[in-house]
Amino acid sequence: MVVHILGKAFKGKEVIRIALASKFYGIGEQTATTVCSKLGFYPWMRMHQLSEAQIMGIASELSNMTIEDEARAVVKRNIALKKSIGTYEGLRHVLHLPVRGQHTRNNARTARKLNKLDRKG
Amino acid sequence: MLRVQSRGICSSAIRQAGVAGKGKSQGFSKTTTGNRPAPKRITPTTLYKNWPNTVHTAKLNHNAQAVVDVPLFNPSNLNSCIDNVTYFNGKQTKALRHLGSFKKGQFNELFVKPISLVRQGSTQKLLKQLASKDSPRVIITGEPGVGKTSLLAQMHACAVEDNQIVVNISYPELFLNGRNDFFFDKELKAYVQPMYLKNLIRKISKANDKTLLESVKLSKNYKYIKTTLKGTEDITFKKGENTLYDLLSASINANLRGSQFKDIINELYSQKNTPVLFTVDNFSRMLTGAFTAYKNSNNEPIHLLELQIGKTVMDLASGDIKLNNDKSRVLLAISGVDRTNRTLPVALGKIPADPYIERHIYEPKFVEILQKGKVAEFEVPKLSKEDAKSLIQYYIDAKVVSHKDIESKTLEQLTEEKYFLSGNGNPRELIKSLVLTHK
Repeated sequence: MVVHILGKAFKGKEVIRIALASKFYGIGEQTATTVCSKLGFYPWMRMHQLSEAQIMGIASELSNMTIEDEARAVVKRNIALKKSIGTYEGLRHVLHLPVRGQHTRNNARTARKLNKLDRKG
Repeated sequence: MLRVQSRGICSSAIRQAGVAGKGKSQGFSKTTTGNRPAPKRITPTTLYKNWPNTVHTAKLNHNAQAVVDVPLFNPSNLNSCIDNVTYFNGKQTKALRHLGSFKKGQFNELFVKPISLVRQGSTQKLLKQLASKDSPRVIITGEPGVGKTSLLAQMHACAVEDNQIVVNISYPELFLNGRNDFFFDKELKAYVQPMYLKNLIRKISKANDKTLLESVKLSKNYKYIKTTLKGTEDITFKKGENTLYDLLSASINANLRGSQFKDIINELYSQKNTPVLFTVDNFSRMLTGAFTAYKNSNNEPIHLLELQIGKTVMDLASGDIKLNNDKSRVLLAISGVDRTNRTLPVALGKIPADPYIERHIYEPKFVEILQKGKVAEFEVPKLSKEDAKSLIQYYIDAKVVSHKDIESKTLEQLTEEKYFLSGNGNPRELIKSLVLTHK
């Protein structure tokens, strides 16, 4: 049984707090646990056990949080700010290089892949 | 330059290898993989899961060797079976299976039926201690593998034969680990776990004799609600007319199950005619983990005493729930699989209390409860050499001992050797030294 929350599909057998943390950008294990506790779910409750009202409850909780595109926009905004005020960190982002003093002779693959002005994820 | 060339060769090799199809060999090896054994197929009967869990439930004892002339466990004439390996009779076995008295890790799969060694130092002594009115609440202690759970099973069998109602909580872990649903019941002012309670109530009604449960008449009127697809119906039980069995077997709405359980406990302990044996195995799990895996709406862990079932167990241990019948007993047993901390030793007066110590090491609330209930300790002793000898004789008859051991040594020599290997009489180490050291 598939459960849909804010446009994302979850398998019925998934544990709610783990599934929420893994599917939504901006929600980790801790936030997911807080949401589940607030709504009165037990720690190992699974998606297929949710009623319609409870699904709505999760959706309304999540809609008040900064997640997904909003959370990504925050990251982008922060990077853009660093660049605009001319910091070294902003420069390193523009150059697609590690920001925090790592060596760049080898490796640095993640930084080259991710560090951009319009960073995704 | 060389690096670029070698990368080119490498990538062309990958292109040539193509996508591995179903049944084709994978990877870059040019040799055919026909000689390689096929991966193990998992069918419904394959034993591939966690071994200790599987071995307990896989009915391996169907292949076990039957042993003849094994006496039956007979509590009314205990002297006849002292120092003997016994089987439980049909009625006892049925009750014990429902109660969950037989546990994994007891090597029951090696034998046709679960066995039980009746010992003077443990079985008879504990029965005597329970018979006296001084200590209605007893905690069984002892080193891991010494036979605390087996002793508890014997006590269950005694209670069944003695027409007592037995209530057993076999794994407190089940209501503490956050895998059952829960909600806050405003009337009871406690967290209730409907799924767990449903199983527990079913266990009580199945494990005890129906006529015994029917002999307990209800002392109050009760009213519950049952909702099905057809509609809502009221379930009413009348004082003096309906029995405890009706209350136990009632199928009611999950949100009322907390009050159903409360009423069951009330009925059990308000009546005077039938004694009740309330037992908790792995009680150390409760003593060492005061905070459960459940979280309240503020995301704070819930204390064990806030759970209805935890509170009930602790009320029985503290004597807040009075035992009206003279023969009613509360029997707790610790387990070696749980963590240890200072709560129990302080409660039993073995070490002094240290109020500055952290709560997961020393929980003063539990100490207070155990001391208020005057919970007495019963320490299970190790096997004597005679006990070990009769156990080994049974193992030889059941053909679980290796031929090498039997052919090269006499029973006395084998007993001497294995008694030493078992750490001077630990039953679990004894059977391990016999069956887990084959080559």
